Amino acid sequence: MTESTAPKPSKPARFFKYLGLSILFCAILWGMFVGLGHILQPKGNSKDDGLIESRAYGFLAEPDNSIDAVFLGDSLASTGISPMRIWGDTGVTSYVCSVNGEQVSFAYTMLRDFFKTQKPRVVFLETEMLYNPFSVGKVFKQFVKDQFTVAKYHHRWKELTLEDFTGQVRYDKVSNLKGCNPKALCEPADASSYMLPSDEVELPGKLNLVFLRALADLCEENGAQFVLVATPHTRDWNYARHNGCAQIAQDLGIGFIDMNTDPVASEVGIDWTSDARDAGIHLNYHGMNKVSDWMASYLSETLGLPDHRGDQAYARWGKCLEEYEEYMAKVAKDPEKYDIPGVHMY
Amino acid sequence: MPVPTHMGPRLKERCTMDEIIEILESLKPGVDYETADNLVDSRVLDSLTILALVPELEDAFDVTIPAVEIVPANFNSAQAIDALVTRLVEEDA
Amino acid sequence: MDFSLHSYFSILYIVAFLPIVLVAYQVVAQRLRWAVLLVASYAFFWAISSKLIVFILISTVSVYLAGRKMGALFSERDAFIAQDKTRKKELKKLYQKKARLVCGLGVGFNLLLLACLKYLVFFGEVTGSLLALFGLNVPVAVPYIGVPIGISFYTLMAASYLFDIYRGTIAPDTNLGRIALFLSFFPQIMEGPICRYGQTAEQLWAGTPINKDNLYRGSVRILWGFAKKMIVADRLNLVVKPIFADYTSYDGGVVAAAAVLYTLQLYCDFSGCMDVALGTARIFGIALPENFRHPFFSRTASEFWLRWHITLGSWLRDYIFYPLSLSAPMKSLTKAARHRIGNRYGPLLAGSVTLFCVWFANGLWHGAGSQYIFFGLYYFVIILLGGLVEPLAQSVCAKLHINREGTAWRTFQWLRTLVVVFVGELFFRAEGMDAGLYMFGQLVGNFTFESFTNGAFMAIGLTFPSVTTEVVGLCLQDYAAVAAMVVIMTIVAVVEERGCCITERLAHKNLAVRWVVLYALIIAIVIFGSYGVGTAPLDPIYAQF
Repeated sequence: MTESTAPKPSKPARFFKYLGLSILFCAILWGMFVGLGHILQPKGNSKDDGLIESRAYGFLAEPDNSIDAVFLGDSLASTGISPMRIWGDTGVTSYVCSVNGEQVSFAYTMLRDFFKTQKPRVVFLETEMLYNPFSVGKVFKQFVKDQFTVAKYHHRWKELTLEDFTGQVRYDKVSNLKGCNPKALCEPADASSYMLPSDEVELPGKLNLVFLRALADLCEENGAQFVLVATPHTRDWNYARHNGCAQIAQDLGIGFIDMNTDPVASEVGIDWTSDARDAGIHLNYHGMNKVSDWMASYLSETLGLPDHRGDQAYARWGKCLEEYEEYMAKVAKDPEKYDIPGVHMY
Repeated sequence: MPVPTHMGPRLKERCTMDEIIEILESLKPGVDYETADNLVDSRVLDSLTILALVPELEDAFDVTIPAVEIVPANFNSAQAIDALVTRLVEEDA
Repeated sequence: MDFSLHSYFSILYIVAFLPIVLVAYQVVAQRLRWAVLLVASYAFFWAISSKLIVFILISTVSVYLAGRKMGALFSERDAFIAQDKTRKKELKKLYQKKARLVCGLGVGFNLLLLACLKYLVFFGEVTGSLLALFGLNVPVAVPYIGVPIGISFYTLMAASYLFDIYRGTIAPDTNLGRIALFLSFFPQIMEGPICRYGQTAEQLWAGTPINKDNLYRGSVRILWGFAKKMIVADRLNLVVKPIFADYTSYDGGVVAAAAVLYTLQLYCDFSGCMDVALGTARIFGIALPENFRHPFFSRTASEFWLRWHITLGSWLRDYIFYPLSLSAPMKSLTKAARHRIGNRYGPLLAGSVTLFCVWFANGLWHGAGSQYIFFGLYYFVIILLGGLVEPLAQSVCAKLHINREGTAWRTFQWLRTLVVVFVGELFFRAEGMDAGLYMFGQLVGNFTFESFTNGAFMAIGLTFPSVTTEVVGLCLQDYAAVAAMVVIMTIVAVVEERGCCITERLAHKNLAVRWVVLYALIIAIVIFGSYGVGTAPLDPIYAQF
């Protein structure tokens, strides 16, 4: 190897050259990821289009700024609250945006996306999420998935169509369930140690609190009220957590409704022998109806959210109600078809 | 075949080489051992053949070849084997 | 991929650990770079095995002391010889005996440590079953401490260090830090390669600065390893795992497919990990020995083991096969055998005893389980038979005018070797000896293509109850991706078999070409890799051994 006769560039010059090249390399790579992400992103909002959280993201098919309340949470939110029932009772439009087993970091992503096309007046967070621990790693993974669609949807290379390359998005699959996931199995819960009075205070974990604060800030930025709500469940809920949530709600200046304690509990009127799906973890549709009825009157009377029945722009909701009631009848008739006994829900 | 010590060194060398080639051909005939230089790498001498070769060499030249010397460099050609044997003979002396 | 540091494929390793080590290594002065590597290696070890780190420390210190003791003995001997040249032979013999004692103690201690930590439970079970044979149902309670990562690998390296000192190949190291780094170097700790002191110690110490050629070549190699693992090995897990887990539900055709797919999976996982290991080492300017040399080009089972897990094979050959075969009792056995049954079969018979030991050791090294020992002995029988049948095969082929160097014969040999390998890996992966025998029985007794024609094979997959009720398996596109990768790997293999080193050639191309290669690999991994929801990525398979 012959030595070049020109003097070698100085050390700092070489360092900056390599730094510059590295940055250029990463920039081009990032550009490729974004481009590929656009191609791989599902172009529709249904499960068939490949959207992973299609139930939660069903709101994409709804007209902009048409939903007045949104419920965030994990599986407790989707089995406990039925937006369609709320509509049927009081004409208030709402949506459940939840994914089973997800953490509050996901709720933040969810809400951020929700605010892009909707202007709800109130945001509810089911409190179970606050007590699910998770690691920094999960946050990092969530962040990567949010930023890099190409990583989240890379598997769609197997099902790419021409549509994916033209980039036209068609969110048109309007859901009749509006994000809820009603269950019909019944396994009575043991309510003997349910909500035993206690003075203990169990605050949510540090990481959960970080995201809770972020959610509260996000709601404030978007002019929405933020309310914590604990739907009825005997397992994983107790007075210590009630006290914890009450305290944190006070600190943050947000609302807190606990359906496990009076006065709300009696108003909702859960019967633990008939309304529980799996011994107290989730409610079945009987419990869901009771919770939704209470929530409907809360939204309409206490919060004063508008009744959109009769409004031509919301005619679609009326149609959905009919189909929803047909679906609920099927679920009631054949519980095992729409659920798997004993298995943790999907 | 003991090597007569009154012969000149060149002739002594030739006798050792011839003997080595003879031994190799008796174990694995049909290879040109005069010129081949990758006996181990091309698997002409696999581990079992080497296992047969070593006692023969030890008998013929009255040396002990320790396991540590069983490396491709020492067995890849008849010349390499010759060098090995010569060295071991000198060391023992 | 998880956020905890548990392998070379965890996110934390790639985005945090490795970059930090690279930067620290480069900015520190040359004479201190070994310290960076040592600290990094022990940090990595701690992250995976935490308190069990004490065992690698014990091994390191024991080996250091034994090495120095032998060095002292040899110096003493040389001093005596210098004084009195006539006693050279007897002094040599005397001190050889003393050194042998020290070496034996050192190696024995470390092997005992390995046996206790890794094999005690297995030995307990074996003892229990043996006792049960005699009607004694004594529960053999065995303490389980845990298995430090890489113990199977670094123990062999420690033993080779002591053996090499005993044989005079290397001088003992007076630097404990260098020995510690030699044994614990983080790219090699999880799955090897099993290095010799003479090969790597000097390089590890040199503190070669990171230059752009090494950085590029190493990065390409690392990405190539990731591609193999994530595109092929992880993907195939969706089919391989359920078949082996639920082995009674599948016919011979499916079992055959499982054997083939598992072998492919194992190769991509293990050699992919080796690519990551060697690529990482290359960035630091360290050349670790290769562990694979296109094993699927082999024409015989013996050749296969010269191309697969090369460093294990050479360790067994250099430290068990040759020393045992050339030991005094074995030599007299060989001599007697040659007299009795001729020049061909004599050495073979004697060799078969050591061959048995080698293959038993190979099998046992892989794991504390009867199917691993079976795996080793399976190859013992195959290779021994090969040796025995060789002259017969030669004469038959001569009579039938079959050209043994011709394409037809070589293809036959190649296919035959593949079948031998696939069957061997079937037993290796099966969940125990019973499962292995059952599956083999299905393979030969119930072989049918039915499952491929009626769609049953394509329906095989894993369930992820928390995500979906459906079974997630592989579709045609998945197999296409695997096939494409296999084609690319074959092309690379053919090119490299001809002696061309691809990464070296690439390093000399211009910027555009170099970057295109990097982009192609990264994009391929991100898009075609098997990760995320509904996938079952593998933990590196050989890390459990």
